[in-house]
Amino acid sequence: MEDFEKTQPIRLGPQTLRFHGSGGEYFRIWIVNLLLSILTLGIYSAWAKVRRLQYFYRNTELAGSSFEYHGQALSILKGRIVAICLLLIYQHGFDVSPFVGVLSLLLLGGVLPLLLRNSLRFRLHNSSYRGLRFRFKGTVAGAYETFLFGYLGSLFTGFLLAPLFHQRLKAYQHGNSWYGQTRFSFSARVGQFYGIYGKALLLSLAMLAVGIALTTALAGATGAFAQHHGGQDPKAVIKHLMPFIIGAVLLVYLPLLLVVGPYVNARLQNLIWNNTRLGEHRFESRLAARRLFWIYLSNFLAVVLTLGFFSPWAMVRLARYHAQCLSLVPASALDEFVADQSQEVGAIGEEAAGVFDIDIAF
Amino acid sequence: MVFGGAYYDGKTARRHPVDLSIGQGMLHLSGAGIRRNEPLQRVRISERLGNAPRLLSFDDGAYCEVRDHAALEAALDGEGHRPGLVDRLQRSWRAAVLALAACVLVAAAAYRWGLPFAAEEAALNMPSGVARQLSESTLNALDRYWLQPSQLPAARRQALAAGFAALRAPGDSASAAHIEFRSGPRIGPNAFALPDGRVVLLDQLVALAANDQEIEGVLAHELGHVHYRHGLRMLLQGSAVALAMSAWFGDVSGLLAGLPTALLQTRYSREFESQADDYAADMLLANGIPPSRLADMLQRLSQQRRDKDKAGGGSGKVQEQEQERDYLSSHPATAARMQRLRDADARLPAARVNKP
Repeated sequence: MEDFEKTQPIRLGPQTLRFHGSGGEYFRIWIVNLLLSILTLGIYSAWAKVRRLQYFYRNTELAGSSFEYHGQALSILKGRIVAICLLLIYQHGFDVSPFVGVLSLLLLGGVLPLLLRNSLRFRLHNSSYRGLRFRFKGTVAGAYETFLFGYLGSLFTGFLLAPLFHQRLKAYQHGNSWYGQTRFSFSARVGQFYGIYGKALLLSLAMLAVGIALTTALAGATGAFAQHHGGQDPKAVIKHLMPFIIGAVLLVYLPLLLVVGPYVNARLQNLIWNNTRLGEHRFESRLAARRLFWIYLSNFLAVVLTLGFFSPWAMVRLARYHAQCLSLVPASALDEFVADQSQEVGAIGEEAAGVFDIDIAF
Repeated sequence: MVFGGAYYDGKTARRHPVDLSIGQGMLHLSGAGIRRNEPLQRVRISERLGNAPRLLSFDDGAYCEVRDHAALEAALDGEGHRPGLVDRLQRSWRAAVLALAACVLVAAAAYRWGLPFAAEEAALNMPSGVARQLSESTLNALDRYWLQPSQLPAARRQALAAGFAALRAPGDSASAAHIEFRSGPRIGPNAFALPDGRVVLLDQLVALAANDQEIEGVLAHELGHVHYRHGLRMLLQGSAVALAMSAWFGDVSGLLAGLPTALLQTRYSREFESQADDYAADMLLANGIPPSRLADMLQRLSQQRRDKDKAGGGSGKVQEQEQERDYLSSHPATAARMQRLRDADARLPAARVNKP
C-alpha cells in the first residue's frame, strides 16, 4: 500500500484501465440502497445512483489514479422529476386530443437536444481524474444540428440514416470533451458506422431466416405426422399449434438479441474509441464480440435464475471487461502530460452558479 | 499514526504523494512542497464504498485519495468520527441479507395488499370521463377486429334489454348499466363488462343459453364486475405490475418482464371472479332467480368447449392452448364456482322462485 502511494514510475507504454470492484462488495451497497429506494417510493434512488457511479468511478484506475464522480443526488432527483413529466406528456398527449399529441411530440423533440447537451455537461463536469474535472463544451446549436439528422432520418427514411446520426452524435460528444486544456477529437467516418450496422443487419437477417426455416420445417413435419397417423387435416393442426410455433420463433429471437447485441456493441465501441484522441494521445479498444457474448449470455442466465439479484455481479463483470479492453496510448510520457494540465480559470465559478444543476439520464 | 495518500490540488493534475495524520480535530498533510493543516470539520470525508479509495475533499476543490482504509478508519475513530448509518449498513453482510429479505417482503406485501388497495381507490375515484373514453376505445377496437353487429331480431333484443334493466341489486333502486348487443363468431359465447359499466352480450351466448334466466345470470355476474370496477382495477394493477417488472428486469430483457407479469395477474382475476359470482348470486336471489341458473350456464359453456375440442380432434396440448383463449380461462376452478352457486339456491324460498 505504502509503495503504491510513494512510487511514481515513469509511464511510457499503453496504459490500460483497470477495474478493482467486486460483485460481493457492490451487492452489499446495492441491496441496502435498493431497500431504501423501495421504502421511499423511488426518491432515494437518486442517492443510490450517486453511490453506484462513485463505486464504479473510484474503482476504475488509470496509471495509478482513479476517477471520481462528484454529482449531487438532488440534481439527479430534479432531472428525474423533469424526465417523468416529459414522459407523461409524451404518453398521454394523444389521449387528450390529436392536436395536443402532436404538440407534445414537438415539445419533446424540441427540448431533447437541449437536454442531451445538459446531461453530457453534467456528466463530464462531475467526473474528475487526478483532481481535474472533465468538461463538455458542445454548443446548443451544435446539439440541434446533430439531432436534425436524427429527426430527418427517422421521419423520412426509417432507420436508413441511423448510422449517420450515431456518427454525428459521437462526433458531437467526443469532439467537444476536454480534459484540462486538452481537447478530445473524434475521427471515425460515417462509412465505418454504416459498415458495422450493415453487417449487423445481415447477421440478424441470416439468423431470422434460419429461425423461420426451422419453425416452418417443424410445423410442416408435425402437420404431416398428424395427417399420416391420425388422418387429420394438417392445416387445422398447424393452426392449433400456432402458439408453439410463435414460441419457437421467440426462442430464436432471444439468441438473436444476445448474438447481434454484443457484436454491434463490441464493434461500435472499438470503432469509437480507436478513433478518439485526447490531444495527441490515442485510445485503443479491444472488445471481442465473442467474449462479450459469453458475458451477456451468462449474466442473462444468472440474473434470470436469481430473479434479478445477480445484477450487481453482472454489472461488475461487465465493467471489469470493458475496463480491461480500453487503453490510453500516450504519445509522450503520460505523467508529464497529465501534470501539465490545469483547471481553466472560472471553472469553479461555473459549478457554483448551478447552471448544470440538473441531470437527465439517457 | 501516519498513513499515505495522494494529494491533488484541483488546479493541476499533478499527483503529490503525501503523508497524512489526524489529531486534535485537525488533518495534517505533508509531502514534497505540500503542507496543509485543515480542521477536520471542514474536510468532506467520503463514505467507504467497498475497497474503493476514499476521498478527503477540501473547500477549494483539492482532494486527497486514501487507499489505506484501516489506518484512515483508526485515525477517524480516534477523533470520534463515526461513519453514517447507511455507510455502516453497506459494509455488513448481515445487513445485506436482512435488506434482501426486507426487499422481498416489501415487494410481496405491496403486491398482496398495497397494489389492490391503491388500484381500488384509484378506480373508484377515476373521473367518469376517463372510464368512458377507455371503454369507447376498447369497444371500437373490438368492433374493428373481432365483433359484428348483432343478428338478433329487434324484439328479442328488446326483451333481453328489458330483463337486464329489471335486474336489481339488493338495496339498489335503479340499474344504471346499459347493454350492447354484438355478434362475435370468432370469439364464441361470451359477455363482458366495459370500465364505464356497459355490458356487451354476444349472440353466441344467447344462442347457447337454454332460457333467459341463464343469460340474466351471466349478466348479473358481469354487473358484479362493473359494481366492483374490476375492469379498471385489473387495468391499473396490470400496468403497475408491468411497470415494476420492466424496471426490475428491463435492462435484461423485455420478453422476460412479460412472463411474470402475466403470471402475477391471474391471481387477481381469480379473486375478482368469485367476488362477481357472489354479487351475481345476491342479485339473482333478490330477483327471484335461482343462482344455479348461472351455474347451468357455466356448465354449458365448459361442455361447449369440450365438444369443440373433440370436434377439432386436437391433442391434449392443443386443448390446453384452446383453453387459453376461452371464456372460461379467466374463470378458473369452474367446478368449485358452480357448486358455490348451486349451494346459494338454498337461500331462495321455493314460493318466490320465478319460472324461467
